[in-house]
Amino acid sequence: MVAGRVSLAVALFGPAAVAAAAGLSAQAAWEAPTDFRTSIGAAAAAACLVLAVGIAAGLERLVVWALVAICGVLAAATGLGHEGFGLAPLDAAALVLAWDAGHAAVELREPALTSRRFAVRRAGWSTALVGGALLVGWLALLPGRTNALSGAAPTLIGVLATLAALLLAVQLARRHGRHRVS
Amino acid sequence: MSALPSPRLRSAVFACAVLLLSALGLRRPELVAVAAPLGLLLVIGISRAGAPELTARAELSDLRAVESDEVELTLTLKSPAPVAQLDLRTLLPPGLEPLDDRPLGRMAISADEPCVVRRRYRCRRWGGYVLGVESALVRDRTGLFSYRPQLPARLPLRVYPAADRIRARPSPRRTQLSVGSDVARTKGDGIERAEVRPFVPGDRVRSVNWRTTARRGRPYVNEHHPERNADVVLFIDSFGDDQGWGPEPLDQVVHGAAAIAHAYLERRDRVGVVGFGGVLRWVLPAAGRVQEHRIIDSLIDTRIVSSVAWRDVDVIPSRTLPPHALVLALTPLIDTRTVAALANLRARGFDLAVIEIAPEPHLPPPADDIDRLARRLWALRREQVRARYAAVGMQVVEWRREQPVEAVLAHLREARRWSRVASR
Repeated sequence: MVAGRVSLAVALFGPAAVAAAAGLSAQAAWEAPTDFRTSIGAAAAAACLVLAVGIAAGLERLVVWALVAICGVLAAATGLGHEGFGLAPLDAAALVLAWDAGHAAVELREPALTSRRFAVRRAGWSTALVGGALLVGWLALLPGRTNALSGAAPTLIGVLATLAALLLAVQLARRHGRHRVS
Repeated sequence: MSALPSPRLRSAVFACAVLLLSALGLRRPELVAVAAPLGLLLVIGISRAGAPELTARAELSDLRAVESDEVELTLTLKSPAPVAQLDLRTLLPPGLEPLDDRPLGRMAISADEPCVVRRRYRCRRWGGYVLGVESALVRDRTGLFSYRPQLPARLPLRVYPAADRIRARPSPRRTQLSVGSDVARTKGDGIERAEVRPFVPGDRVRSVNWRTTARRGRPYVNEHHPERNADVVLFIDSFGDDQGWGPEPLDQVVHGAAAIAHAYLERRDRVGVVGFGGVLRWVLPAAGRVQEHRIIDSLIDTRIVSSVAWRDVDVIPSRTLPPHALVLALTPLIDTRTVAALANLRARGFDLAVIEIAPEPHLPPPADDIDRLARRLWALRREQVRARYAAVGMQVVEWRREQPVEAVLAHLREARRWSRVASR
């Protein structure tokens, strides 16, 4: 066992999360039209600030809403901005990094005797998540780039995605119900 | 054990919802690409979620220890499936000092591979404690769900007070019938010579004192005092209140009682304990090493319990106070119930001595003149109780915190030597 410190977990994961969120926000502001750049940038900066405060204070609720706000800012900027798919995998990786590192910084906040095995696995998992997000983001854009999908195929994928989302909602409801009964 | 949705799950669901709805509303597929990894993680995490089958076993290096000893708790955790993150919090009883600075351990467990967690503690204060797992929190690989498995891995630890060695202890006025180390007042077979008297028919020849016989011209025999054991009852006052008579004086009482019990049991006397307080406890008098363990087990269960119920010696089982027993009371002489009970015991003819635990050193210094006046009145009242006890032939010696218990017992011996003459 190695002695882990609160400052170590926060020092590793906290800045990583805030940096990823800041990068994502900067990219969103840069993508936004000039007229909206200031307001988008201000909203993104506020979200990053909330994220940083949430991590520093150990308030996971703030982290949740900060991440959701960053997603909202990104969506708004993308909607207002010009079309361009190039940076979407990077956005996905940054979002996953901000999500994982932001929550990890709060979860691992309390001082603990941390086993070496856990530390190595945790670092490996975070790295794998970011790499996987890059890959999945790139794969998600692949059909659009190659124009492989057209006609009924996108509709089929949409239906399948909707079914998957419904399944997810049912699973969540079941778990929640079981928890309440127990 | 049910799955607890974590804030990660909430943030991932909300983020995906915002991005996917925006993608639909704004007709921007790149937002789907941004949301896709999180969505995939949600699907994987939810489909693979399941309660871990974690088992834990606790072992202690010693189930009994003495103050300042070190004990090691070993927790062996095992799971048939890998556990990504386990936050294990161990119990930290107030009388034990952890040598590892953190009670929380964070670890990952491989499938079917035991994970061993060791914690070392230094026993700071006597008492009965429980060591083991306080709580456990398992997070799954994605962190979307957490579980709180019940791990009943707990073991009791009894920490005995480190007792001082006592060489000389007060002797009881009357002894019992069994062989022991106290010189009885009666005459019989023994080593200590009692007197030399003229021979009478029936005396054994080996008792003849040949020197005196030769000098006086008629036979004289030696008479001896036999060595007998004694019954000693430790009367421990554990009445208290939330204001003053708290754990510190109780520490002094328990350490003193343990040392006194050891001193008497070492000399083959029978020792019993009566814990007279909010909770009445007793150990019947007996001799031997086992009895010492019984007494210390009883002592470390002694707690200050506030009580307003009136108690007298009638509530004490009669076998606990055998006839001719020496009753040694350890009390601060604060509670009127104890004061009355001790006077009652003395009136019933028990050989009673009081070791008064001086409460003043355990109190904070007086804040103002009112406090000082109250202390003086209190001291006068206790002085009056002492004088009342002395008048009925009870010896009261004060034990201040800084004094060793042996010095107090030596003082008590001297006091008893003189009071014996006075009480005749």
